[in-house]
Amino acid sequence: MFFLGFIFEWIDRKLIARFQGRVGPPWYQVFADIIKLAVKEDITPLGTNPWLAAGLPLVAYSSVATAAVYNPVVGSTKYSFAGDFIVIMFLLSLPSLLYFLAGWICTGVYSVMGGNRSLLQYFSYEVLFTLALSGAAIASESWSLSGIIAHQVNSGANIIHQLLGFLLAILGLIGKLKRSPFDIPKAKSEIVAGPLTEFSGKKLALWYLSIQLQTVVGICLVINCFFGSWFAAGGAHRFIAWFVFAILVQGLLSLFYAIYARLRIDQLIQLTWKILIPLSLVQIAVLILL
Amino acid sequence: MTIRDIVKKLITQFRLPAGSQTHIPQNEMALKIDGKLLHSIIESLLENGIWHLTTITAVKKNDNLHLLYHFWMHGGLTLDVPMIEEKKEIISIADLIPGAEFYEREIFEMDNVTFIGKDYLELLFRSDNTDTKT
Amino acid sequence: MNRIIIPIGPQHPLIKEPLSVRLLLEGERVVDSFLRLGYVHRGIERLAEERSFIQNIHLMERVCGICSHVHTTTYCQAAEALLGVQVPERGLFIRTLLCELERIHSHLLWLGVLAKNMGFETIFMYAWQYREISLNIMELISGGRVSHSVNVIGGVRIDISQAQSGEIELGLQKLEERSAQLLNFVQNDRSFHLRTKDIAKLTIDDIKKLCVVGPVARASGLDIDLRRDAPYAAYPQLDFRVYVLEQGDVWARTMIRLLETLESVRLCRRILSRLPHGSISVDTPRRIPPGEAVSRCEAPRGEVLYYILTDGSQNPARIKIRTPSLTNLITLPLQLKGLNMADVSVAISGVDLCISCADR
Repeated sequence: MFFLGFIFEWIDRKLIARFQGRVGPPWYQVFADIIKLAVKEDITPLGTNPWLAAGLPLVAYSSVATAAVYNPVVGSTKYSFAGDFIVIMFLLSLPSLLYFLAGWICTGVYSVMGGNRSLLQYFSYEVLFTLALSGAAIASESWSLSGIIAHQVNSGANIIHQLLGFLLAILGLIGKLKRSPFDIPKAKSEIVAGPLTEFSGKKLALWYLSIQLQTVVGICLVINCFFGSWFAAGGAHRFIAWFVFAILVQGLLSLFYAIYARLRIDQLIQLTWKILIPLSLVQIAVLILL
Repeated sequence: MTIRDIVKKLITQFRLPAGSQTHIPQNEMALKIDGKLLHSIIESLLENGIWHLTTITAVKKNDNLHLLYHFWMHGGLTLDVPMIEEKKEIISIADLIPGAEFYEREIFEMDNVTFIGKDYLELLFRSDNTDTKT
Repeated sequence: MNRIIIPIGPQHPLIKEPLSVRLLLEGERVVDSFLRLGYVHRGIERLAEERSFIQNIHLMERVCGICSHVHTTTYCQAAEALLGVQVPERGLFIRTLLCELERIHSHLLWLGVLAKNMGFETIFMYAWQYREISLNIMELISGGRVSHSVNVIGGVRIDISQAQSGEIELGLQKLEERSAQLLNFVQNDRSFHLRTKDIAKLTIDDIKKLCVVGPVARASGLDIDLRRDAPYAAYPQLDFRVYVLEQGDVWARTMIRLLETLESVRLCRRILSRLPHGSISVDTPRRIPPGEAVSRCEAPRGEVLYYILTDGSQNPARIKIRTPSLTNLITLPLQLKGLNMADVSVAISGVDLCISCADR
């Protein structure tokens, strides 16, 4: 999972570059960036609790790593249990809260503003992501990811009758990961880097690693919920199928990055609550009735 | 009305001495006026439809500081206002033309000219630790 | 609600040159703003008094990086007016060609910066890619991409050969297609509209009171363009369209600049096709007789004024430069009032500031 994070980030950057008419970085760029970040000087600003500043990225990374453990890749995992879907969603939402806290503990204006915005976005996008993926859980009548996959193996991939849910899940994932067009908490041209402005060196490297891992876990979740029917036990075709879908989802994320401008926080919230969440509720209602 | 007509009108209206009006190359009319008449002349210019002030120049001619007000309205017009030697002050026109504010601030900071009617307390161009000498 | 002060600058990812705007925010709304300039003040007007007229051409080019040619054009025009010389036709046309190419490059640069500050990296990458075409053309003509030193007092010092003409024409064709693409995009893309429409509106009364010039004024309904109203260089012999819009928001300014870019490309082709034969400059004496001169040109950002006072020696007695960026800066506190924090970057980018011009 750790290395998958790097691979996906490279695919993301290369795709975005191609969409923008550029060449894009070579494969080792992502490793070089993290290594370089890790050897830089680590400065904690005055007034920031150094234990919190060091602890927050650590907790963020470990919570996502735990979620990764419970998340089936290519259809199987040793650690599945009933209800693990909810546990994973909770663990995935923890880094966003910690992101806000990181902004709160730093004394700079940019950090606090970024933290405030990220909290506003958090409420909208966690709800959207959860609702969109819940459609899959409801259809399979199981709150365990293995159960969701098993259901799809038996009765066809969820994508076929939940296309809307899939698209909403992608949008929710973009909001959770704070990527453009929903990257208002870390809007570079307004508040420098938002909550992460004052972090540097190893702490910042940990934050980036946790964001990478979040991306991978998010993508895996989406694949498991919507494309699970290809992951019946046994057979090398699982790996190929998984890889194809992973690139598809990552491609959609990169595409949305490239083709839209960053939205303002009020436009973002309006969009979510007026359009996207009602649509996801419609999707769930349809599933329940059918 | 063209610039030429407006200048003629101003000369008669304010009884400016002969020879106040000159020509500066590349299509600019120049009018030498007294500092006391500045405010009223600019009011008159605004009434006649000349409202675009390009800039205010502070220039030392013959050891005396002159302020040049450059206007433009399909033709250039420059008002040449000599300062009185000892006291470097002139009435501010920022109440008539709000756009003049930055130009007056620059002259206030760089050439130490006081503008009556407007206190420029905050520095704009100069850094906080430069001396105030011309 | 509590108020916080957010400093934008002097160092900030939003602005490319040092400028200090301190915003007083209440929640996410800007209540007031405090402007400070002077971070790149180099005292160019004072330096010019120590150098000869010919050395000053080199100095004036460095007032601004993006509109360097227009500064030297205005300066040389003022000096030529004092000397009473007439630049030959071919020299005037070459000067105008570079002025228009510079306009294209400046507007495309600005579009990229606006898009980047809006979070729209894709348009930033494409606009700057297309800008490379104009930079290559300028490099072909003068050897430099942004700094040309083509003007001399009395004309220009570089000629355009037939082969170069052909290559320039090809480049201009490509530029026309690509700029039309960008224009089409700005007209139709919904997320661009969401971020730029109705932001930082300026009415025509504000424009008149603050004496604003350039595309910002034309986007609010004021029909002024020095190329048409006080023609200089080769403009008396060229016809072109001046675009004026009424909305006055950042979207209108973007549209105006893109329309002007397209018009400049067409104007460049007209200039190339009508390039007259003859010499490109006349000889001028080193000393300029005493007198004063005022010269105005239309830079990409608006009206540039040069006032030169000479006393008969080899150096000028006083040079006054008025750049349009200073005038557009005056509108900034007015535009920022009541604006949402997220729109501040769009508003500041929309004004197209060139702080090194404003500070000199």
